[in-house]
Formats: sequence, C-alpha cells, structure tokens
Amino acid sequence: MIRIIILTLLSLINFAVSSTFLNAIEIRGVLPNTMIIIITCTSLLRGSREGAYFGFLSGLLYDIFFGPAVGVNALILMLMGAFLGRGSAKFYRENYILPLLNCFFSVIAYESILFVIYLLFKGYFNYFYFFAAKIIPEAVYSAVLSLVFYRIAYGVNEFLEEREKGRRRVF
Amino acid sequence: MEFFREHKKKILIAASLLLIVCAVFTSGRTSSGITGTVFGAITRPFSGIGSAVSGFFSEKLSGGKTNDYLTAENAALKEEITRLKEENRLLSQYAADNEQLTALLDLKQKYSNYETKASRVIGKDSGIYFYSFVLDKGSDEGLTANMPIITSEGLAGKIIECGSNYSKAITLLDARSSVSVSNMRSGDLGILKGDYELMAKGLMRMEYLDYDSDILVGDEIVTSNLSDIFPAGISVGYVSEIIEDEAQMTKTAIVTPYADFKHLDSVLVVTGFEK
Repeated sequence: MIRIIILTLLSLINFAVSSTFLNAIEIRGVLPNTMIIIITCTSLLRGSREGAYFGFLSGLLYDIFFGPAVGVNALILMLMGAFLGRGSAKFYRENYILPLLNCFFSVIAYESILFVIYLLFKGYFNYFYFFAAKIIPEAVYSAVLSLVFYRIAYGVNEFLEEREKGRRRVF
Repeated sequence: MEFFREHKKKILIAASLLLIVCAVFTSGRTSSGITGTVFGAITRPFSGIGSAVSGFFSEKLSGGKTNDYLTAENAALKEEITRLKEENRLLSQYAADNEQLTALLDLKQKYSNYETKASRVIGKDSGIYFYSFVLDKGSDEGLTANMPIITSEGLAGKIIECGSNYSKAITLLDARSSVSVSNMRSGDLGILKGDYELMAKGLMRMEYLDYDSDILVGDEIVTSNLSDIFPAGISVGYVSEIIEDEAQMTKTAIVTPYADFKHLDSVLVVTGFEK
C-alpha cells in the first residue's frame, strides 16, 4: 500500500517538475524524458505491476494537460512498464547496463510510436529529421540520466525492502 | 493485491481498451470534462509549487542584481519612459485624427478594441512534437477555447481547451496553430503556420503568398482583419527569410516571432473583442 502511495506521489511530483523547471537542465533544446527513466527503474526493480501503474498514471496526467487526446500516452507507457518489468526477478539488480539500454530503446520506441500516431497520420513523413535531431539526443540524455536515477531508486528500494522484512518479522 | 496478481493480463487488456476508446472520444475536444477538473484540482498545488520554485531559481540565476546594475537599469528605463511618453503623445494625436477621419468617411474602425485578462503560465510541454503550455485560469474566470494569448512583445498563441481552473494553450510555433496575418507595409495577406522542423529554431512559416506579392526581409507581420479569432493589428513578428518557389508560383516567408516562447511567464488572454 505504501508503495502505491509513493508511486502516486512520485508521478505527481514528476509531472510538476518536468512541466516547470526541467528546462533548467536542457542541453541545446534537448530534455530528458523523466517519465520513461522512472518507468524503467520501477519496472526493473519492482516488476511489471508497479511499472505499469506508474506508466498509466503519469501518462494520464501528461495526456490531460498536454496531449491532444486523453489515453494515448497512458496506454503506451502502461504497456511499456508492463513489458519492461517482465522477468525483472531474474536479472541482477546491481547491473547498470540493463537500465541504460532499457531507457535508451524505450525512449526511441515511445517517441516513434507517438510520431506514427500524431504526425504520420496527419501526413507528415519526415521521420529521419526527428530521429536524428530530436529522438536520438533525447534517448542518449535520458539513458545517461537514468544511471543516476537508478542508483537513487536502488537505494530507496533496498531501504524499503529492509523495512518490509523487519515488519514481517514482528507480525 | 492478490486479485491484481491473479488477473494481471485481464486488467492490462481492459485498461488498454478503455484508453483506446477514451482517446478516440476525447481527441479534438475544447473543454475538458470531469476528469480534467478532478486532475486539475489535484495537480494545481504541485504545479504551483513547481512554477514558484522555478521562478525563484531563474531570478537567482539570471545575473546577480547588484546595486550598479539596478542603477543603470533605472536610468535606461527612465530614458525609455521619456521616449515612450513622447511617442504616446504623438500616437494619441494620430488616434484622434484617425477617429475624426474615419467618422468623416463613414468607415468602420479598422483596429478593434479588446478586453484582456492577465494569466500566469504554470506548465510547459516537455515533449518533442508539440509546443504547448498550461495557464492558471480556466472557464471559471470566463475563458473559453480559441481565445488569443498575447504578451507585451506580441501575439503568443491561443487557448485550445479549458478546464474549470486551468486552460491548455498552444504557441504560434506549434504545428497545430495557424493564424491569418498580413504584411503591415504592403497589406498582403497570408497564413502563418507552425512547422515541425522550424519549431526547434523558434521560427514560423507564412504561406499562401502570391508570387508577385510585395514582401521583403524585415517587414512587420501583424494579424489580419479577416480572422474571427484574432483581433486585427496585433504584431506577430518580422520576416527573416523569403523562399521563392518558381515551379509552384508561390512565395513562402519565414517569420521570426517577437514573443519569447522560452520564457513565457505572465501573459494576457484576449477575452472579447468587437469586430
């Protein structure tokens, strides 16, 4: 239960931060995709259920305030969280390559799906411009930043798991 | 919890279908219904804190405001006030002249009067395909979709959707935006559109110009009197490049906006104007 509250709060805070002062860390107009960074971290550490929950919630928030239609981001990010969390129990959590690669390819997949939904269906075909000028820089930036996030999330998760273990012993 | 674990796939599929249906029905709406109101109420404090914090830091970071700096700024501003007062006096004479002459000629007033409502920007889209932002006032304050937004520099965009206490707006750079504009010097009409590729450079495209239309680099572009949404005569930007297409017999102008879209903070919403 406490994890659901934490994830809900985290999605609200992430929304507020990314829509207000994330601009402070932009590099030549490129911003990291914090939603996907947090989804990759949660789903790797906690499995697909919590990844999907966070993806759904933050995607829905984004849709309501910025998206042209409600549900597009929520659907993509929910499925992404569910997919990335598959087999999370089998991986070594101490490994940093997995979150890096997951984040890199998730950003590319996410932005490409959005391109198809928003732009391609409206008759804009120049995917390579966006791929080279926007998607790849964003993916690289997010992947690098995901290492920092992953380290923090890993520590917080360890702490929470220790606490839950302790609680279980008491009861 | 056990329930979720057991029916994980079913829940995922049901949620997906729900979201698809939701997306189909909500695309292109102009007022966000109950969900928008509820989420708006939940996220408002967070966004408010966020924009307050970001405002605080940008103030701190944007150059130490030392005494010398403030004195110099004060002197420059005083100079400008004198200049503007002089200009204002001249312009009010022109306005009076204009009124007399239009009355004499029995013409309708060319520039419409409009009322504005001040509003603050509380969030910006961090995505790469659109260029939109959120304002802190909504339909409770009398705002509706399609109301123009102006800054002190010029036109900034328009509202596309209103919740009860927030509204979504797009800037001129967004590819969904298109404005009927005219060249102030020659009066040639065109349509100013946002462009996906020019968006990153902060430029816009003025289309549907005649091949023989009189347009030069540096010309000022203002909103035209053909539009139902935008009042006529609001300055938008200046022409920075002209592309001639001889095969199509058209011209396209690249327009640099006056408004600074990267640092939008407080804006004015035009709530009503007489055509």
